[in-house]
Amino acid sequence: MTPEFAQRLASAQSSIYAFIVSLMGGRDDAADVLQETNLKLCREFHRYDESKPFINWALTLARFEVMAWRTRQSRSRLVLDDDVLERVASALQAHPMEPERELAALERCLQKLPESQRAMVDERYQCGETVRAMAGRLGQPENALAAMFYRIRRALQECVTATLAKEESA
Amino acid sequence: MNPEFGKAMHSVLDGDLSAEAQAALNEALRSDPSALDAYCSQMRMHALLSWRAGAATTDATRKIVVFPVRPRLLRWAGWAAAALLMLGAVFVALAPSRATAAVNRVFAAMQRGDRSYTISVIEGDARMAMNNGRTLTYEGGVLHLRGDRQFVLVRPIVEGGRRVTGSDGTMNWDIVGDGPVKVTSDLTRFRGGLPGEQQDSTFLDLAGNLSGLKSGYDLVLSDVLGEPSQVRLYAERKSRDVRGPREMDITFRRESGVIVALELRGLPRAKGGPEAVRLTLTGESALPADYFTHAAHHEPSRRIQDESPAPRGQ
Repeated sequence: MTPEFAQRLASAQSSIYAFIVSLMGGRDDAADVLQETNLKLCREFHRYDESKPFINWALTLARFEVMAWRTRQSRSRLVLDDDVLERVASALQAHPMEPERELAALERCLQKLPESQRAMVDERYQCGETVRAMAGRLGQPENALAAMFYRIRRALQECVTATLAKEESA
Repeated sequence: MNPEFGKAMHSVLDGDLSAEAQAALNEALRSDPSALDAYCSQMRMHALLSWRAGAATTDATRKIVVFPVRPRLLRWAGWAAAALLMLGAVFVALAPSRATAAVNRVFAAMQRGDRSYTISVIEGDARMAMNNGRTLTYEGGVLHLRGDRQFVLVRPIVEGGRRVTGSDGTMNWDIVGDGPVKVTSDLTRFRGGLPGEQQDSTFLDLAGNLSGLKSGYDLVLSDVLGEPSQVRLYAERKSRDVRGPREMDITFRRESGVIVALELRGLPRAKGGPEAVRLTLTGESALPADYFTHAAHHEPSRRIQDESPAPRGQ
């Protein structure tokens, strides 16, 4: 184990986490699978070919860990069918995240949101309130609130993508 | 957005997916490339927002990297992390999310209530020449904050009087001694945007600096020896390209996230001035509602000089 490997592993955490969350369909135990993946990456680090991108290798191992997690679950707990999971994994691995740059861009994009929407994002993500609970508290239709969060996430993703593209062309 | 797909996405993210919605989701992802794109995009952003909030930090990770660290030891943290990893303590790799969660807590605390801090100079020259020939000193200055947009910064003038700079979130203003009250709707003015005033930005853009912490700085979280109710977050700038002080050492209350002390080192020094300062919390009582307007800091007869930029098209 080298400090460089530890640094790469630390830097890739948010990317691996996003990959696992996507394959698991947003399940709460994504953090547990992330830990299992970290263990596997550490044990297998001597197999890593430094001439290749670390993130691709890490996501491949994360995919195996998700598959292992699925075998331990009852079918009713699995969100994605096997063939669909493969499609999602391939789509995500074709465009791996750039975690540090994306998180930095996200901070700037959040500042561009209207204050009321930023506050709702904080309540949803910082405080962990579900959309259903928020809808009940605010007296708003749950579907309308869910649609709003869908639009906010889409706008943030577009903003992050545009910000990164702008940085690259500068 | 296909309404059924949208509902299914919502149910997935809220953790209450029905069998019907699950079937609809899988069918959409199987047959519709745009649904697959939308799913990946939504999931990625959901994960990024969750990660930013520190949601990936589980109880198991809370036992890691809570070791007292002196600022200069940060550069060894990478080696320490490697050593811990070799010992099987892989949870160290999750430390950034815990530090990020700490930053979020501090940032959230900034949005609540009024805070007053005194400024003391740790290194460098406390004094700085102003354009009018007089000399400003940072030693003994006071910074009042309300949320992340309103501030009043009071600094003594060596020859007598004081300079009071502030913002009520809609107008920035600056009062030097008994001179005119300069006001502007340009919220970048009087807060470090001008040459020689970069020091101010580090005080006045605390929210901006805190936001930058998560991406532009290496972070180490540690306990405060002898103060179990407090936590210390040490941040070292990753590169010179990152705007802001070279190092930030933030001590905050574990429960509330309120900053009780903040040391800023490696401040930009275009015209001299301090290299390192310490802000110490001295007050948390509510200030008057109008305290962050310029009118609260001068007599009504004082001349107002509006330096707002001309509206576009003129």
